[in-house]
Amino acid sequence: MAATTPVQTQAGFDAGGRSTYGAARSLVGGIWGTPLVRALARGLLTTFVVVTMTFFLIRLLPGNPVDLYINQVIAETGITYAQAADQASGLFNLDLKAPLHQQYLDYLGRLVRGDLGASLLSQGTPVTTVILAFLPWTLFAVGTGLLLSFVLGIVLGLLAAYWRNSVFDTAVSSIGSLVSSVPNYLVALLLVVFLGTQFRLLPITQMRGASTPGIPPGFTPSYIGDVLFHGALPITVFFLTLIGHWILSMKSATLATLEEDYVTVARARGLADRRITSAYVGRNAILPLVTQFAIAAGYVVGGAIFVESILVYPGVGLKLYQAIQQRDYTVMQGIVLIITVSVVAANILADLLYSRLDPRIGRAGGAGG
Amino acid sequence: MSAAATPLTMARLAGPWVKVVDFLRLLSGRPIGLVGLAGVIFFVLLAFVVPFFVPYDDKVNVTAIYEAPTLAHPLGTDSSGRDVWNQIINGGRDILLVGFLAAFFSTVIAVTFGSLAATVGGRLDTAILGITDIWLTIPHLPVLIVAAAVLNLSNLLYIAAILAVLGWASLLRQIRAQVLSLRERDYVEAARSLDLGLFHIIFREILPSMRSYIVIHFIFAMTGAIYAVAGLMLLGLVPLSGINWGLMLNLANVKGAIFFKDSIWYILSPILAIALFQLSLVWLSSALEDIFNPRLRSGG
Amino acid sequence: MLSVRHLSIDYLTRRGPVHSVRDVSFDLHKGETLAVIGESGSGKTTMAVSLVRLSPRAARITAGQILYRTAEGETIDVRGLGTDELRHYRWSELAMVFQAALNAFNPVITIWEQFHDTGQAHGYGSAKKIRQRADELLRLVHLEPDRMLRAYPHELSGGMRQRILIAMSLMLEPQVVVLDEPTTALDILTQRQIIDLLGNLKKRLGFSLVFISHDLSIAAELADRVITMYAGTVVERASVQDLFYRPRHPYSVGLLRAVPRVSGELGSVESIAGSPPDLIRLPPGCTYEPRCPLRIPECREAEPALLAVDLPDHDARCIRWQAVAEQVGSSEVPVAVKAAAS
Repeated sequence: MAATTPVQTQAGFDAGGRSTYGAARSLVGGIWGTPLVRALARGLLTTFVVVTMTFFLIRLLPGNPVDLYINQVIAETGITYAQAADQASGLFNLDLKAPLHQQYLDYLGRLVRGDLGASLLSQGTPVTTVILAFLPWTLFAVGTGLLLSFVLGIVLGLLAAYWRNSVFDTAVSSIGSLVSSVPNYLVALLLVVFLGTQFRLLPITQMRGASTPGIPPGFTPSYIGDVLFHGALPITVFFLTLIGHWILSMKSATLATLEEDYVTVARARGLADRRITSAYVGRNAILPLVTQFAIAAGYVVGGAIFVESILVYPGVGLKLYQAIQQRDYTVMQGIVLIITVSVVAANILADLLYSRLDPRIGRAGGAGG
Repeated sequence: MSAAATPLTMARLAGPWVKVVDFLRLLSGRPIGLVGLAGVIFFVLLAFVVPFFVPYDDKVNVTAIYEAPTLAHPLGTDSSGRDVWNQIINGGRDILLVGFLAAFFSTVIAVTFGSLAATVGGRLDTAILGITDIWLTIPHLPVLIVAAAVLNLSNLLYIAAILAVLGWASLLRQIRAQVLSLRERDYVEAARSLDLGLFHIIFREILPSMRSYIVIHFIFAMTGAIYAVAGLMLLGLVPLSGINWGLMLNLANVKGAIFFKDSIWYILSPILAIALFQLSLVWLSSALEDIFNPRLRSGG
Repeated sequence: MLSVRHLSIDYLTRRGPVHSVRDVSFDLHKGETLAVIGESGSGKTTMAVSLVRLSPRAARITAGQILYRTAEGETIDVRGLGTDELRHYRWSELAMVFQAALNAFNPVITIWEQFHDTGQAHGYGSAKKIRQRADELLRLVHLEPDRMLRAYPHELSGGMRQRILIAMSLMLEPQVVVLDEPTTALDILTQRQIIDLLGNLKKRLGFSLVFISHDLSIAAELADRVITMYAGTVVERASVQDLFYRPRHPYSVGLLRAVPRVSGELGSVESIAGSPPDLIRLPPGCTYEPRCPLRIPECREAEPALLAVDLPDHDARCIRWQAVAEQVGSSEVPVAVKAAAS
């Protein structure tokens, strides 16, 4: 519109009438404003807090693992303190001679580069390798259980809302909430006790582990079947303990949506029930649940320790438990870090998903007026 | 004078009872809530009162291992011939206590700082809110587990404290939001203009209307705490002493009781005790949620 | 076009059945605009919603008929329609436009998709055809098609949404359009626009219009005939001229006197004393009697039927309609003006 005068160009004004400084500022402001960047910043901060907490827990408190390790090594092998400290610093990613804050910064530095140290038990095995051996199984079991419970849960919840106060509704809602209120490790125990010991329906001991040795990994039916066989129990436990929440959430979200004006208007417009249920009721009711799903993903990973320990399923939860028993502190730190990262990532994903699914959020300003 | 004072005193004495009766009447419309309340009362009595009459019986009887229930042993015996029912009675105290304390502390923290943040506002508010947001995403269980392992907590009070320290975030946000919305209301303005002081405003004017959030959060925190504590005990991550349900679970797991057919009563009893108590809490809280949420109540 | 005969609807509540609509009868003729006027709680919305059988679960039609005559001359009993027939009837024969245009659209899909849905549901044709029709309709209501269709509902103002809803209602060329409180949630300027729009559309397209309101002034602008409802039943049926100049029911008179004038002196507005009756336990006599300035003991005995008055095509549910006529006096000046002048 307005042509730039030579003076304006000199002062760094672009054709839009803003100075380059102003343009740069609004660019940064624009980026900062996006939910992604804010969520990432928050996530980084959280991870930072957890990392710091674990570091100081392990390092600072009296009787902390590092000193214990050093004393233990000294007692066992008789090397000098300096040598033991050297060994410890290698394993713990710490330089014990340096002041504490220096050690902390070094630790952070190594973390950023992806170096989590080495396992105290199997010396020389990087923590990352250990974690990568166990993490996929947790993701598999938790992921499958969560996904199945979500899919079935929202269907049942939707139906329960449509057939409100029917026998179906009462049955589904009560059973769902009942099973979900029982702690997941108790459900695991009950499954083992009843299906395995009492009624001898399942060969529990054989179902331990993630796969049967002797069946080579690969996308073969026998391997996949084997993996499912071993994963059946943990998946079932996660499925049972989570589904109640989805059923009830979806039911209440659907009930609320059914009362919305646009549903009545849609009916008045003569739309078919199918279309109304899917695009008008379903898509709106599910919105809050998507966020919940992503958040749940993060937390179930963290809480898998109980179930995996009881069912002897080799995921990060079980490894954490073993690491605790064996006082393998580097592995412990590493696993907690991984769990935190996954929770944070899940939360960020949840935010992103929601802003994508709900057009009312995250659009760069509406055409209001 | 005294004749006139008596009805007033009677009314004052009757006051709390009237509230209780009203509350029960509200609950009676929701049978699940009644069942939940009954369950909670039952277990609380069982864990805290009954042990006075039925103290822990440590007698070992090697000839009566893993027996089925009989009159003498209503829930059978354990691996050393001890009475399971007796253990259940005496085993609830620790767990319930930790649950209660954890919920209590986290509620106190949340209420204090939440209302503080909302009433004081400004930088303090932003700081508290920031911390809370980050705290919300911290995975409680792994941090708790590591802390338990590293710190070697023997006193259950510490466990309760850690649970509380981890779990205050969600309630704080709710309290803060509520206080913020109430801050603008008339009666708060009135109190403020009367210069009644910050604490008075918080505790007498605002908090009573947030009873519902607090109670429901309290119950929720309790279920979470019990879940964590029992789990920790089950896995032996917490040094165990005395007798409690968690220890029973641990022993069952460790001694392979889950694989013996006969020992089913030993393993089932603590499972049922914990599960039923959690269920009672959940049912009670969902009935309370129903009561406190007017929209759900009026809906047909 | 549309005949409602002795329609009665009850709401089932814990305290007992609420008789929200009682023995309502009226006719709508081709090309006519009918205004249904009443205060909130008079049953007008309940009655309107029943015309498309979208009453909430708790409501039951206890008596009456809703008869609709199609363009081919066939008479349909709306209450007897099957599911598919009902679906077809809705929107293509009778379009019911609800009050809350603010939330009338699915928030997660675009306006275009909502048009498409409507077209698809009634077998309108290809997407291209629907698009053409949507463009045409939006221009009719003075909106820019490209911008509107691409938008999500929350991006548009209340007035825009109301106009889009009106446009959409005409999509299938219904014979009857029912508007429930078309201007209530809007500001004065937008109200003006909508009223003008409705008038123009009606002239161009020739549908029959029923609109429900508590606002008499709209009736004055748009309606040919008016029925006033009170406590669930019709208390007066008349042409719009008759109602404004020659009302025959005390309630109508009260309503007219309660309309303030934009210009002129203050203090001329009278509200009607008292409040509407409890619809669960109705008094045996005339329901308006407690608030009626012309009441006599006989009014308490039985609820009057709709009586024909001294003017053609004009009924009032009042045994004292002659006294009302006398009170109203000369039929040259609208009652509202007279009230303001006094």
